[in-house]
Formats: sequence, structure tokens, C-alpha cells
Amino acid sequence: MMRDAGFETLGLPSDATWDDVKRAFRRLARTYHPDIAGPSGARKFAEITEAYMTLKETASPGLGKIPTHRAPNVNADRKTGKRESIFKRFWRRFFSRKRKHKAKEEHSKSGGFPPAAAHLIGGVITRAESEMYGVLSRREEFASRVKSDAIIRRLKSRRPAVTLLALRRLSKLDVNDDIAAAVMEHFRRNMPCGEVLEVILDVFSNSPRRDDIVRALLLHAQKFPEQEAVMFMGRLKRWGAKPEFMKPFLSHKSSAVIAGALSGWPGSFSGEKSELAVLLNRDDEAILIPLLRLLKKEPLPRRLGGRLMSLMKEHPSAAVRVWASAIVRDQKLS
Amino acid sequence: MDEYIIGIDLGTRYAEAAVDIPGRGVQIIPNRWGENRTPSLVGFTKDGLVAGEDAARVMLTEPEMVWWDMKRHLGSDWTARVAGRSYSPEEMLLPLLSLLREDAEAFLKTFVSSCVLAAPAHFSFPERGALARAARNAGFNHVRIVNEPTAAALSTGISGRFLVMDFGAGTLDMSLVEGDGGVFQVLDSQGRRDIGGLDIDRLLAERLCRNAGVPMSRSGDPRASLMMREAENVKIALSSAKRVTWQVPAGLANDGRSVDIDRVEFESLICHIMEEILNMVWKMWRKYEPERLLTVGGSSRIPLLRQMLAERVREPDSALGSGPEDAVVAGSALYAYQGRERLLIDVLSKSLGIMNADWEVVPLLRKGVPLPAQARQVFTAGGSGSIEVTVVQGERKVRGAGRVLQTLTIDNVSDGETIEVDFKIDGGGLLHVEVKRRANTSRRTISLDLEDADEISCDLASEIRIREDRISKLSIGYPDDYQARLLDIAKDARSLKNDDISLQWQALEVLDRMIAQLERMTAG
Repeated sequence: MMRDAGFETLGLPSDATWDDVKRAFRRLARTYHPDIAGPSGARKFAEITEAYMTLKETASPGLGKIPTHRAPNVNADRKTGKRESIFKRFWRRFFSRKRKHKAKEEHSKSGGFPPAAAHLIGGVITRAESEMYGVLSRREEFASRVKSDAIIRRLKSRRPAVTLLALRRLSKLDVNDDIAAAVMEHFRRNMPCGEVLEVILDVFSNSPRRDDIVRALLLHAQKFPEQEAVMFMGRLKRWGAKPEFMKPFLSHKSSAVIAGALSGWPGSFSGEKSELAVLLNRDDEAILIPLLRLLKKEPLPRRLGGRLMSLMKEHPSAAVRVWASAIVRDQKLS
Repeated sequence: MDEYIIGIDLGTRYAEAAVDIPGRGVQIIPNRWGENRTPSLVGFTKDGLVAGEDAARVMLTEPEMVWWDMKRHLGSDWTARVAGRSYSPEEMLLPLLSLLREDAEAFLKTFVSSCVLAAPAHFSFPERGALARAARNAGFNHVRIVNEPTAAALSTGISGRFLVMDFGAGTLDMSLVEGDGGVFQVLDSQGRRDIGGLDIDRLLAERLCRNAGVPMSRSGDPRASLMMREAENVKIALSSAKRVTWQVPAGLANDGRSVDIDRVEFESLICHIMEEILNMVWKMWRKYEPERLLTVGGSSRIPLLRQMLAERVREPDSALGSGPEDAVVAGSALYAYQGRERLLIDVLSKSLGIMNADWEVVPLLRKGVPLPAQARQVFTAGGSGSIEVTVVQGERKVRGAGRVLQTLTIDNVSDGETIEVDFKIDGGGLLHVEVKRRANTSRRTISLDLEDADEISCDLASEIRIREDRISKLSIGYPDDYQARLLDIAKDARSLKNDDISLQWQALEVLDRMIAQLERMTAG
């Protein structure tokens, strides 16, 4: 009888062969497999699986062959199967109706709720509502945590292309403290390569955490290749960066970078005494010209007079000599 | 489509990833070194763990700092000890899986957080669970596991009944599959973890050393790994050439000596391995009488194997869309979009059951049941105290014959209490076992895919349904607006179905608290 129920589930006559069973199972699986129908298909899939397994076990041992024993007295069996299911359904309905009925009866006996009870129930519901609201509001927090975990993980990748993906995704989000901390931590330890640097600066250009990120990046200021350092300084200048942000570039090995730092120096330079002395002692024209141009506007300590005098007289570049002499003349250092 | 799902073949020697892009078909994802295949190696450097070619480079100088075939150790208590710390197999797989993910992300230019991982057919549920966990730690939020030979079958897309033999570097797996109008149904899967291409390499390496008069180094020695790689190359060359001259590399002998090996000698070396494989194939072949024989995996290129198969079983078919090495990964990528064009229905390869107090195994899910599947069994406690629920997999009914997967102890059981055990094998190929106690409705889930046995999973929809029934019974006679508000609360709870599990539990707690209070009021 189980066997016939199996045939029925698969929509087969009870003299169907094992091959028919397999074919029917696959046809139904095409519709009800949870990968196609989603979770709603699970129950139906379980049913057809059960039918398939039942028939498999009663089928002849040789797979792919017609089952040897056909079901005896097929029709009678199938009828019983049907009858039983109808019977069951009837009982289920009957019971549920009875239960509802009973409940209603009880209710009418109690004659509805007294206002006090209704009030209490309202209170319970209200409390549950506010608790549920609390749970729902935590959902955003959870979702964003998952999201930021995914981004942080990728930020830390050794592969720049993946770091870039994470940064680009970051640009579409509100950057929270966790992410900002992770970005800082990561780039404090690892120098970002060119494109990554550019994207970080883009992403954080309007962020309140911009200065913190910049400080982390500046730890690598001397190691950035020339082009990247120049690009970085360009951004800093556009943002009206403080002198402390430009200073790390003054010890860069490329004179073009130092010149770049000097040519857009924010504010007064004579305060940077140690850098001033070091840079003034270099002979590089590219550095001296922007440096002297900066110094022209500022009062200089007299001890630098000697170096300026020698630049004025001996430096091979005419421009340097002119700038130096102008300073010497203006500030009466001779 | 905003999310890609990639397929990963985590082979013993090489790992590969692929993705099925609509309109472009399955694409193998190149790694950061521009190769399709990434060495399945993880090495330790001063910067931490590295994988792939980076690890291969470590291998040249410090072979004792490089590990491979971590997959074999999954689910065991094997650890790699390095720099004063020990790493579990899952942790060791992490850099490799992360690397594959990152390469896929760079290739697809988007985040990738879902994958299908191919696992050997003989992998047990705890091993699969450990594999899934490793992938989750590597940043894949959604992981499915597919059997390697079955994935290969899916990639062929042919109809009729066929036997797939997957002979890789570390494993030999077989699946019998029937393809029928885009539906691929697996009838049987078998695997051996002790036969693989590496065994052949080892034999060949020994022979080459002996012939060349080079001492065979012990494993762990840099020269041993060099030798294995040399042997692999010679083996591959012997698949197309009749005779190969092996130039002994400088690391092994410095006099530039060379030695010849011909295919006959090689074949006599590996003959016994081939016989064993033939036996396995023949058994499956005789049992199911398939129409075709498909061979995949790099080691299936060996001419002797093909010849023996052709003579004694059937001419092996290599009419595959992709090369034999790529069949598994291509199938995994296709499985990711299961149901789009092809549907794969795998089966349970060994029965699952629980052991009762008399050491008898009560099968809950029978061998050969199509997956996903679930089963439920209700037991009545025969005494009070604590009882053990032991999950076993295997065919025999005697104690010790099956493999014990997990044991769960339930305390304070009262006499006659009913205990319900639910088995569920989900679409991801992972087993979940749930134990419910009827008396106090306390629920305990052991999920074999999760490290922590107390980790809870929750079928939110059905839990809410139970509570809704109680609410609707309670609220008969309540004013209409109360009923509406109650329904809204349940609806809110249901909306959490894709959210974090702890939130789902909190929502259920809110409902339970409310129901308890309402019940008390109605009663009082």
C-alpha cells in the first residue's frame, strides 16, 4: 500500500517501471527541488523523495530494469489509499471546527473582558511592541557590522586590486569608527601603492577623520615614489593643510618632492629651524629657489647670513644668486 | 546580478576557482600570478601565512615552513606548529581560500562572498563542516559543498548513465550519474583517500634517484620536495613521450649527470596502483552497467590507465567541455547556479542514524536518499538521569561498525520524557542535527558544520508559526485592534528571517514573554 501511495505521489500508474519512477522523480524535482522552488518546495520535495525511496526499495535489485512484481489488486489498493486520506482530512477538519467552537463558547461564557483585564492586556502588548521595536532597531547595527567586517577584511588584503574594491565600496557608505580605525591601523603598517593612495584620499577628502588618516599615511611620506608624493602634497595643499602635514616630505630623497613641499608651504617657514638649516645647506637649485622665495617674506636669524652670502656670490645658478642677494639686501644680512 | 558565486576546487596539489557568467559561460579565474591553477600550498614567513606561489617560493628555501594537503587533516586534531603557535587545518586553509577569494574579487571587480567548494566524495560530514567553516572564516558568508566527481559530472552536461572517475593528486573518487533532460542524479559515490597521483610521483622519484645514484632525501628536506616536483614533471612528460631524459638538477647532484627512463619502466612501477583502480572501476561498472566512462583529474591522463580501462572496461571518454583538470571546478561553478539550466541531485552515500541505549543503530536517513533530506525520530527516555545521543554514519547495525560523528549528552532527563531528534542535510551538503525535548520545550541543536556544539540554528518561520497558533488561540475575544497589533508583532519577528541568529532568538523571547503573560492573565 505504501508502494501505491508512492506511485500516486509521483503521479504514476501502479504498473509503472523503475525507469518511469526515476523519470517522474526527476521531472518533479525540476519543479520542487529547493534550489529551484526555494524553501517552499522543501515539503513537496521531501514527499517525492520519500515516494522515490519507497519505490526504490521495493523495486527489483537490478537497477534500470522493470520491477518484477507488479502490484496485485492495484485498484483496490489505490482506492483504500485515497479513502484514507479523505478520511483523515475529514477528521482534521472536524476537530478543528470543534475546537474553535469550544473556544467561542468559553469566551461567550466569560462574557468578554472586563475593562481592567483589557487594559492589562493592552499593557502587555504595548510592552512587547516596544521590545520588538528594540530588537528591530538592533538589526541595522548587526547588518552594518557584517558589512563593515567584510570591508575591513578586504582593506587588509595584500592584493591592491582588492583593497581598491573595498575603498570604492567605502566611498558609498558612512564611514564608521571601526572602519576608520581599521583603515588607519592598516595603512600605518602598510604603505599603500599609488592608486590605493589616491583612492584613500578621495574617500576621506570630506570626512571628519581625514586628518587622522593623513597622519597614518604620512608615516610613509619619505618612502612614497616621487609621483605619488607630489600627488599627495597636491591634495594636502588643496585642503589647506597644516605645516605639520607638509614637513615629512622635506626629508624625501627626491628634490622635486622637497621643492613641491616648499612651493606651497602654508604659512611661515622660519619657524622650522632645523629643516631650514639643512635645506639651505644643499646646493640643489630646484630646492634653493622655492626655499629662498619663501624666506624672502620672513625675517631670518643673522647666523644664516654667511650661507646666504656664499650663495649670492658662488652658486652656479643665476636665479639662486639673484634670490639670495635680494634677501641679503632686504634683510641687511651682509 | 550583483553577487557572483564562485566554484572552488581545492585540490591536493592545485587549487582552482571558476565562475559561471551568464552569456559567457564558465570562466576559470586567473590568479594574481596570471595562472589558472594555484599551488595548494601555505607557507609561513615573517609577515605571517602566505599561500600559492608565495608559499612555493618559501618552499625553495625553507621547506619545513610550507604545508600542503591540509584538506586531508580537516576534522582531525592535526596541527601545524610554527613560531610558537599551532594552527589547525582550518586555519591553515584560510590564507589559501582568502587568496582564491581575492583573486576572484579582482577578476570580477566586486566583492565575492559566496562559493561552492568541491570536496572528495569520501569526505565525512564533520570534514565537510570543517571545510565550510574554513571558507566562512576566509570571508565566504555562504558556502555549499559539492562532491568532486559529481561536480565533474555536472560539467559534462551529457545524458544517459555514466561513471565519472576523478583521479587527482591525492584522491580517487567515483560517481555513478544519470543525466536526463538537464537533471543529473547521482546513484552512487565512492572514494578512496589513499590512492592519488602523489603516490605515483613518490614511486617515480625513488626510482629516478636510484637510477641516477642520487640519495633519496627524507621528507622535509628541501631536496625531497624538489625531487617530488621533478618526478611530477617526468611523469607528465611520459604521458606523451615514450622516453624521457631526466637531467639531474643542480640541487641534487652537481656533475650535470642525467638518466633516461622509458614508459615501460614507469608502467611497471605503477602497475599495482593501476590494478587497484581498475578493480574499483570494474566493481562499479558491473553493478550499474553504465553507458559511458568519463575520466577527470590530472592523473587520469596516464596512458597506461587509459589503456587498461579501454581493454578491460570501456574506452574512457574525454569528450568534456573543459580539460580533465578543470572539470571539477567548472562543475562547481555550474552548481553555484543550480537550477538555472542544470539540476544536480546528489545522494547520501552512507546511512545516517543514532545509536540507542542497546548500542543498536537506528537509521534515520537511508543510504541513497536524494539530497537535501530530513528525518525525525522521537524517542522516549527509559529512565531518568542523563542520556547520550550518538550520531553515527555507516551501514552495519552493530556497535563500532559505523563511524561516530558526534555524541551529545542531555542532562536531567525525566522518565518517560520524549526526545525528538531531527536530522537535516541542507542544500549546502552539511548535516544539522537538532535535539528537542518535548517536556520543557527546551531545544538544543548540534550542528555538525559548526565548531561549537551549542551553536544554535533556528528555523524562524516554523518557530513563529508555533507561537502564532498560541497567540491566535489566546486572542479569541480580544478587541480587534489588539488582535491586529499581535499580528503585527509576529510579522515584525518574521521580518528578521535573514538577520543575525541572535536577533531571531531575541525576537522569539519577546514573543514568549508576551504569550506567557497573556496566558497568565487569561487563566487568572
